[in-house]
Amino acid sequence: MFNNLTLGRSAQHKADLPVGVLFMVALAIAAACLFLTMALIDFGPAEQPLVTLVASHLEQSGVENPVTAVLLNFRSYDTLLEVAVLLIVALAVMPANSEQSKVRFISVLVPTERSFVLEAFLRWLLPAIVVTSGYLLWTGAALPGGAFQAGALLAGAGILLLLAGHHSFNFNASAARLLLVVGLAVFLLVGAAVILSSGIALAYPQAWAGILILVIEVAATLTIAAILVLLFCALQVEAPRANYEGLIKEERP
Amino acid sequence: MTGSELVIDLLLGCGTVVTAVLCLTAKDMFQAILLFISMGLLVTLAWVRLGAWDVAIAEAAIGAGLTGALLIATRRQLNC
Amino acid sequence: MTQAMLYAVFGIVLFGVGLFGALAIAHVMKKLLAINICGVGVFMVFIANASSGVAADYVPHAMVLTGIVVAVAGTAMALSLVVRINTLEQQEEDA
Repeated sequence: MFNNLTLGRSAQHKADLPVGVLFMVALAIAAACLFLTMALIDFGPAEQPLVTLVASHLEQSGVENPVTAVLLNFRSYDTLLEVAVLLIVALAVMPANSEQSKVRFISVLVPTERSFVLEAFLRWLLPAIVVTSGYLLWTGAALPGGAFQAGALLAGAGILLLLAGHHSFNFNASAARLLLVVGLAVFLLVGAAVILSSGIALAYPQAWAGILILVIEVAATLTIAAILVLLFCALQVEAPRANYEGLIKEERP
Repeated sequence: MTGSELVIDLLLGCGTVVTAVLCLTAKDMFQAILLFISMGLLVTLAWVRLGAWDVAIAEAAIGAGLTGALLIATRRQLNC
Repeated sequence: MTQAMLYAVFGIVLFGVGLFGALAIAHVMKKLLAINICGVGVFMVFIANASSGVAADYVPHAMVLTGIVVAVAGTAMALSLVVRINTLEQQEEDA
């Protein structure tokens, strides 16, 4: 079952699983789902001790949005480790090329084909996205929004910029590396620094909680945006020059 | 829960499941990716119905938008 | 049947559809789509249960937010592995 991984066009000539096996798998999964549904109905309305806990401690958290409070104060270890996971994935997909560390982070190039609609659209869209992302970050303290949403929006802006073809990002540049780690670094530094006042890692002093959370969120937004753009860069067809070489190689046979 | 609300919830839920099934049975990879993005947007509406606004914003931006971009970029590289 | 129950059942169905797809489909990228659908089902059960009480429970909301970001990171990692497998296969075919 796990050996028949196939890619692209080669998928056709490899046979799928026999119908009997598929039927058994479907039956087993249907039974499991039925059991889960029955368990859900049996379970009934659950007691939710966390609701009152969050509500009663919200004033101490430094923010008014309960989700942001949970993410960055009550369960900040989760978020810290999540930023670490993102960094690990970024390291895994990052193109390993030490020669490129001298190249600038953002370089301007001439696109092979221009899309005038996209370019004209981006002139309006990019500033709007950056402002919206800043708004989402700021408003995350009181209303829905926060670091992840803002970072994702910024990353969307970066991907659109890449697609227009006038710029390329080099994530081996030192500025880019700084962007990739700043979120985790600031998070860890703040988490360690509050030991001085409260004695526990990541337990912010109440008076400073709001501002500390905002600092962490700004850094996390930048890192999340940079890492998401890096993921797209790593998966995208290589830069125009490399692509051209690929074309020549394909024509050879 | 009033009748019209129930209809909206049922439509959203069934729509999500049907889109998921269509996504997995689609012959063309590009079609499958587009259906996956549509499913993400339907799920976003479901989060709004359930009152999870933060999750809805994140799902629209990351779950539907960025995942779709990553998938399409990979598909272009694989030519499948 | 309450709204929360309805969405939880749909979440379980989505989970089942995704699980079956992940096991039965041979194409790697579709497998990934199926695993993602599986994840969406899990998130839906979480959020539905969070809204079942009198007041909304925000801890599952935060966990799902974390989950969405980790899911996209995992997908990207898997996709880069797919691209790598593809390059190696092509090199093998060329040789």
